[in-house]
Amino acid sequence: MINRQYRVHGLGFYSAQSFIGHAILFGVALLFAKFTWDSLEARRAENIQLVQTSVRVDVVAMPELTIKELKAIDLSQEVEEVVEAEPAKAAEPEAKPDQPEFKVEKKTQDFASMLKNLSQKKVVEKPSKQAKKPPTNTVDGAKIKKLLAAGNMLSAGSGLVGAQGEAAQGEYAIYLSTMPDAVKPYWKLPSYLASKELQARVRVFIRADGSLIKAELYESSGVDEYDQRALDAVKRAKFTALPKGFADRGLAGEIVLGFPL
Amino acid sequence: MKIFTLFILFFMHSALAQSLTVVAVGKADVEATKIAFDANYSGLAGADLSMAKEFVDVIRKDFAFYKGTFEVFPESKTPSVGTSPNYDDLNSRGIAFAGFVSFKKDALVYATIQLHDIGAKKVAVLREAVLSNGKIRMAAHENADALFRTITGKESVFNSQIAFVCDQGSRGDNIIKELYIMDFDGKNARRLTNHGGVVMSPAISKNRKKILYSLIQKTRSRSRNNNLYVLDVDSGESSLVSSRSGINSGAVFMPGDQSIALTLSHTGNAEIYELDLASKKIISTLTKNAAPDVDPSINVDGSKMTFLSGRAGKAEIYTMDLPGQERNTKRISYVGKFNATPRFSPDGKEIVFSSWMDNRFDIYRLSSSGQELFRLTKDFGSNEDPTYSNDGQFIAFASQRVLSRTKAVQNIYIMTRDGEMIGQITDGLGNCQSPRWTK
Repeated sequence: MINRQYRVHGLGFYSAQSFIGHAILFGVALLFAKFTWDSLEARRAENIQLVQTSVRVDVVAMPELTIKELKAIDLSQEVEEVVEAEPAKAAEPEAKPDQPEFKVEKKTQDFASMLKNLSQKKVVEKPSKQAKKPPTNTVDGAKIKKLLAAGNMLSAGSGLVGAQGEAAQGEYAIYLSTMPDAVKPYWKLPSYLASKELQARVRVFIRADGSLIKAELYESSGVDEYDQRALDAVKRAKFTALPKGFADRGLAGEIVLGFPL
Repeated sequence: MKIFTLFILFFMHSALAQSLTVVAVGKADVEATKIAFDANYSGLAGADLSMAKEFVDVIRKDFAFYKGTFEVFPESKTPSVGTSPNYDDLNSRGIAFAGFVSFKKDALVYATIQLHDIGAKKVAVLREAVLSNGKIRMAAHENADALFRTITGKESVFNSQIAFVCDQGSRGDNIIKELYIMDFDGKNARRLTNHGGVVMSPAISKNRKKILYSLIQKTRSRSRNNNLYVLDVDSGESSLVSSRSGINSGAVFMPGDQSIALTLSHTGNAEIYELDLASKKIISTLTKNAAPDVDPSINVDGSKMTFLSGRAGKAEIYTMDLPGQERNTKRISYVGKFNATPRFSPDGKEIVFSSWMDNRFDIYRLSSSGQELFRLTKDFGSNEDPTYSNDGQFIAFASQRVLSRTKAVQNIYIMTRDGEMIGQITDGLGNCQSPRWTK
């Protein structure tokens, strides 16, 4: 029987069938491989992106500035802005006098200053490029935030809790993280208190614009002077406006500032 | 009544339901504490009076050394304190602590020191001291330290000393460097050795009885080996510890002062060894690498060592755990053209070192985890060889500052751990270097 059927259809029929069957199998295998490869690739890209946004490189080069100089910058508020603004400022005044000089002075000098300007412009461009990156991020923002929080040891204990709306919550969390910066300049202790392990907590009631309604002692350290200094620091601090939709939290006094934790 | 309890329960419930968010502000900056020292010198005259004045002056200057932590009233502006001060008046001047020193002349001169806690309106501590000629400064430092401990709860640097090397006595090319020791404030400087050779890299024991140093003897023979000696401070006698061929240098005491860690290169490659001081025999090899390992520094409890190694291709800072050989060796620094002399803070949490930048050495501070790299010195000549104070708050270092086109003098300076200058400590001893603070 088998021989007969073999004869009926001929060798071509079976080899064609076999070929089609194998081709389908091959195609499926190929598709499967591509799918696996793509998903792996996507995972890798995502990981790289996550790592790029979360890794904090602490030591890139020997620092140029001493602690004293860094402190001086701190006093003029917000380090990052100053650092980014500096090259821009340096480029501007040089660009302006360049134009009138163009006609009067020799070209060699202009070329040199042009090069100088060009090189300075590059410096200015860099931070703006970096600043644009985050919006184009396709990776889940919350994931990055978690990673960042894990990398930033200082924020581990700040208790950014809550369950409602993660994205908006992030804005509130960012606001909370800026509060210590407002208090820090006024949070000072004499050595005899600084050396003791004390802790006080102050509950703050603030309006939507960030102005203080009242500050009350939530947890005493047991030392009056310590408590008073913590309260004074809060009273002297200038908080920024609360993010939209969170005004009620400020009014309800849901924020407690810990000195030091 | 029931309604009342219900009301309270309801209230408590609502208070608990509120989701309070705690935001940590962090540690406070230290604000200078105002302190005044008043004294009553009545009944004293001549030498006794000048002795008493020096005593009070040293206490004032000691506290002023902690610039930023204490603000001391100058003598002319010191308000009257006395044995029962007007606390409210002193408080209104912002004074947190006020000292009153009175003297009594018997066969000897006695000083009574009373420290008033102005905020608490009470006497915080009462001490007595005998003033004897030649020991005024020591007595003042001791008492200042006791007052400091009462106020801050921590030890001060007032009783500490610094060992160092100076080239006074050199003539032309014949450079002679001898070992010296002084109080933390630069006073009482005295020479300890007289080898007529070049003394290098001293190290002082915890009990301050022994000082290790390396020496290159100026002999006529060809052998100019770098040998290790130990000086007995009380007797002034030096004895040879190691004269293995090559380097016998960078020695530091291990906790207990019985053994030392040092760099030896007798095998052809510089490694760090532990040596028993009494038998002068090698106990163990702490590092093992084809690249040279030098300059050990050990934290106070002896659990960690930091050293310099060329295993990365250039001089970088490493740490490892003790005891053991290469136990948990970790590279700490990844930058710097040439790093040198890593030194642990007493608690081992920080490392201060010098690094070559802009054609000179400057001093940097790094946390032991390798993060938080800070620059401490800048723009003032070459700064090197840092050493932490016993309380970890200060750093002494050698700085070469150019005086004129033909003259540059190296002296020992002290700054706070944040790089705030305290001042020049040595003067008139030639070029001074390699300070080592007692721990």
